Amino acid sequence: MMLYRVRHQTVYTYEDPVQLSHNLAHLCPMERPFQKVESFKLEVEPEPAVATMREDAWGNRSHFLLVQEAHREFRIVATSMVRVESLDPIDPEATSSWEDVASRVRNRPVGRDVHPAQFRHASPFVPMLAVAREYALESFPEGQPVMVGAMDLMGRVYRQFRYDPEATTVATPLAEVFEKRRGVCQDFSHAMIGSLRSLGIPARYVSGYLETRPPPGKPRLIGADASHAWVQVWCPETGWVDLDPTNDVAPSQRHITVAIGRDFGDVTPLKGLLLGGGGQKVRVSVDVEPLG
Amino acid sequence: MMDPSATDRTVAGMIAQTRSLAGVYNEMRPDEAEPHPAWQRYFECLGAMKVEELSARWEDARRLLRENGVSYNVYADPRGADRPWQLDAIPQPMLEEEWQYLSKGVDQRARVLEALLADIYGPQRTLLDGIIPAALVHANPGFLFPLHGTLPKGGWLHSYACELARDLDGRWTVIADRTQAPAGAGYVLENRIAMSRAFPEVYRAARVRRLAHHFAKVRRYLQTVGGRDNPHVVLLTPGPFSETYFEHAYISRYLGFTLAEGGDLAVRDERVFLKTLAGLQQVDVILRRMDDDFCDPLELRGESGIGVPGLVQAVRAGNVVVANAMGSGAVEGAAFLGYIPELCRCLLGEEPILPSVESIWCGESGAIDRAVAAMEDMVLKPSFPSMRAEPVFGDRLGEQGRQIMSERIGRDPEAWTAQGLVPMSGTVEWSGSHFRSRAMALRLYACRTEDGFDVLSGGLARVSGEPGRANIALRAGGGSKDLWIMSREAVSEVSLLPGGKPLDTFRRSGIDVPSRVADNLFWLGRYQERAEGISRLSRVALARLSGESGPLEAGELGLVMAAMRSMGILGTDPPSGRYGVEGAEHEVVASVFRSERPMGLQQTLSALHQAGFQVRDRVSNDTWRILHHLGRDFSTGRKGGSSTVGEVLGLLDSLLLHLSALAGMAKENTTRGLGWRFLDLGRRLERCQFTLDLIDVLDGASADGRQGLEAVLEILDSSITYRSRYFAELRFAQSMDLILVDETNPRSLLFQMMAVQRHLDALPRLQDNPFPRKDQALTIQAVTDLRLLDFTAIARDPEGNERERLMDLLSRMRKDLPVITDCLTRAWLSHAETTRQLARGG
Repeated sequence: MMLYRVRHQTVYTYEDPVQLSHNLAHLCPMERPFQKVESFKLEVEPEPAVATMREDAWGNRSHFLLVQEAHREFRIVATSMVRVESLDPIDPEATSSWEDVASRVRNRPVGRDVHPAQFRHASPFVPMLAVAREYALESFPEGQPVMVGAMDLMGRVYRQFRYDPEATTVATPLAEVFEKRRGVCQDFSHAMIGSLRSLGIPARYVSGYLETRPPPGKPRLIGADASHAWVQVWCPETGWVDLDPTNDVAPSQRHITVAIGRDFGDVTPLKGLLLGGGGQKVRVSVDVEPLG
Repeated sequence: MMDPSATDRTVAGMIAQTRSLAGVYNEMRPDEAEPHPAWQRYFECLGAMKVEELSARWEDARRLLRENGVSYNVYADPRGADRPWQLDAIPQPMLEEEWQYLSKGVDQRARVLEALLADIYGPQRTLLDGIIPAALVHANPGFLFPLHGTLPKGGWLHSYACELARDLDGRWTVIADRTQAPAGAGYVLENRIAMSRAFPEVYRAARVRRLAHHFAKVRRYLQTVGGRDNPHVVLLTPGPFSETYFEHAYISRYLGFTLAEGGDLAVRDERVFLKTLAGLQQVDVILRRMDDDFCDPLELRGESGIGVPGLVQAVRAGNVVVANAMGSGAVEGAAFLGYIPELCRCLLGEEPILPSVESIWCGESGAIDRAVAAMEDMVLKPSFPSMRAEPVFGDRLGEQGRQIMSERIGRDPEAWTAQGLVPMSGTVEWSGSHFRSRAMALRLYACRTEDGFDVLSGGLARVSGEPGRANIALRAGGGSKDLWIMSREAVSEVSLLPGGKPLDTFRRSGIDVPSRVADNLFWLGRYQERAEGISRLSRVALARLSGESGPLEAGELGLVMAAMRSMGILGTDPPSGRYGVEGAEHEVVASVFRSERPMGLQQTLSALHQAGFQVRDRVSNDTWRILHHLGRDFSTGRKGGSSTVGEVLGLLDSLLLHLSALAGMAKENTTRGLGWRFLDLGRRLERCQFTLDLIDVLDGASADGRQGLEAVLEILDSSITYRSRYFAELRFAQSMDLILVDETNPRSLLFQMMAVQRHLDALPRLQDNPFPRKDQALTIQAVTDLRLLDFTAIARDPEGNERERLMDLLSRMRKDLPVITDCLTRAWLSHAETTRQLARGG
């Protein structure tokens, strides 16, 4: 069991005054069976005229913030205390074949299968690509247990895609990521999600944080200085299973979940529209401090 | 086709002789023998009307439609690509009994779609219980996830359109549902007006059920659903470039709602406001004619530049009714059609009244094989409308084509729905010279009212452009017919004026002039005046060219042309080579037709049309007709240099007449509200600019200030006044007195400036500041300076220092004018603020 204090700060500075900004934030960690949020605090400057929280279609807590006073700097700091328990590893060999999983959520799934079924389709950031299917099939020979295939796929993405923050932006299409085989956690997660969905396997996007200060003797994880992203794969035996293709690990205790969606677009940490502003600069810092 | 030698020239007789389409239900004669009772009644009402009569009346009606600007914009260029609306002279008659049945069916359909929307955006029982495949929602780009879990105030579906066609046995079958923002009701109204004017006695005799009841109920409902007293309803349009902008403007005017574009609305404190000249006005109800995914760039399509950021949140907070609610487009896809009967049973507990066309959603297990096997008799459609793929007709594909199509479906079966082909019934259409048979489908409308859905007792009969089944899409060149529901009893008259509750509030002004509208009115005024100035200049130049030119007048011509050059109406230099009177003539004549000069006549006219088009909902039909005619002769006449001076003078005279008519409409037929003030401000400021520009050229070109005076007075329409006052030869000081400071001369500079000052003083105060704004200060200064001018000294010494001081003063005013416009724009009209996405976070 680990207790973390997470501080996620975003500061925008603008050339010209901004008269008004509408913002949508996904910064509040979610409750999961193995994750408890002890406290959460959102500080926003200038003070928003409207700040409301709601639970969205996937159970994420999103904040709607409307700033109506003129400003040149917008600062938003999310501080949370989160308790994360370790997870028992699953037995990949004991999961259904990937074909069974796919057929279970195809056609007319009913009852509990309806929920995972919504994550087998293309989504705005993850189109259905022939190249993704080709890539996926190498990990999913006929009859392969779905989690065995998924872990293999994760390992291949980890080895075959190079971590390179300069190679892509938020707007880089997935096809280009497959072509370049470079990118950051978002790109790797989208690539893995696209591969799984191309075979009909439900997969979704997780936005969250990594422990930034590893205990002595443990290596620092990749992507720890910003918010992080990974993947969930579904099978009937285990439900949703988290996999992190950027680090080739099944997250346990060192990952903190913030929000879950079809892709990055559903759970963007902070997005917004503003009036005025001219040029802008953004600084983001994430600090995840283990308290024991 | 008809036999031209036939002796029976009555409409009824000739329709009876029209050969029908093979292999479909014949609307006029379903069983060959007798005419259908509905048509029989129509024929009786027509009496012995001859086709010549029909034809003549119809030409009049078509002209009316054209002049009212009824159009369906394919690519919405205000002057070119608007296609005139096609309405047929023959209505589609229907007996009340048949309509009662259809109306019940359409009402049921609207109710089941409302229930379906409420379920898929709510508990999703239909998915969990497997009544519909989950992918119909999950794979549906029209399902807006951010709205899941929302209970929009007023419900989901407010306006629904049902597309129906008659199969071989004459059974009406639903071929499509429209739940996004159904278009066409405005055209139905316009069709009805045209038909009832062209054939008043037929229309009365047929006892056609009125449309107005329905719209009165809809309006009443929209005014109560917001929940506030005296609610503010706006119609949200994507703007003048939308295909059905005509209709948006028409409906908003007919119902008395403000037409708003996304940029006119703003969200503050989870409420929606209209940005008006008088500040922000809260909006209670939005009649949405914009596709829902474009409505909010914050939560829906991020790249939408036409939406209203924060609108989704305002809906969640329950502070605004959006009709139809955002997200309601989700259920209009072809994929749903096949499931509607079952949904009727499960959600309403009713048997479906209207059959749906046979539909196979290819995502079901085994469905793809059935679809492929029957492909020859099917049309393959994208399952969801936002996929924007064209339908593929199986029978038009060869063996190989069907093979390729099967593979295409196999790659993404959920994206395709196979539909049976309904052999649309054949009706008759007047071509202008004869009758011919055409395939037909109906579009019926249901709207939410206080007593549930109300089905419009009328509709749009849409007719294919070619003989056979085929595309009845309006976009593809099809036409329309007015659907006449013929009542047994006398129909009651109705108007939109509200009865019942007495209205005890009085208003002297519309409070809701959106800033964008004021901006367009301002430019409409400016362009009118600019067009007039250019026309007058060109006319004077051409008159000098065509008359007997003495030496003085030749010098004047040079001056007028210099003015035209400095204003950008002519090129900066005379064309090289031999250049005499003929060269000048050619250059001026050509300039009238040339379209590449930003300050030239043609571009000014097209900007004028554009500005007029943007405020279509604010100008009267009479004004619109004048706008429509304005400058049309130039494009129909001979182009360019081949026109004679006489011809061009004729064109300019007629243009000036139309411009005067517009000015007259503004003066005599427009209430003195803020909108009018901006229109007039535009006109006055432009006239100041034109006068000062003209005097500037005169001053530079003429040493003694006398040469060119004649032309300047003529251009400023003041020469007759001058002559009536002085009888003598032209003097500089007297001329300047008349055109600069004579308050009684509506063409004088002071007259314009005083009007500008009055307008600026009447604008609402934006800040609590008791002192004049900069635009006011500059205007006060100009008025005072002009009033204090003393021309006696200039008259005594026309070439002395006094004249120089006058010219300095005028040149300062000339520099101040753009500053006044800038201040106005920034304070009231500014659109400079744009919305933009924040950069990516972590």
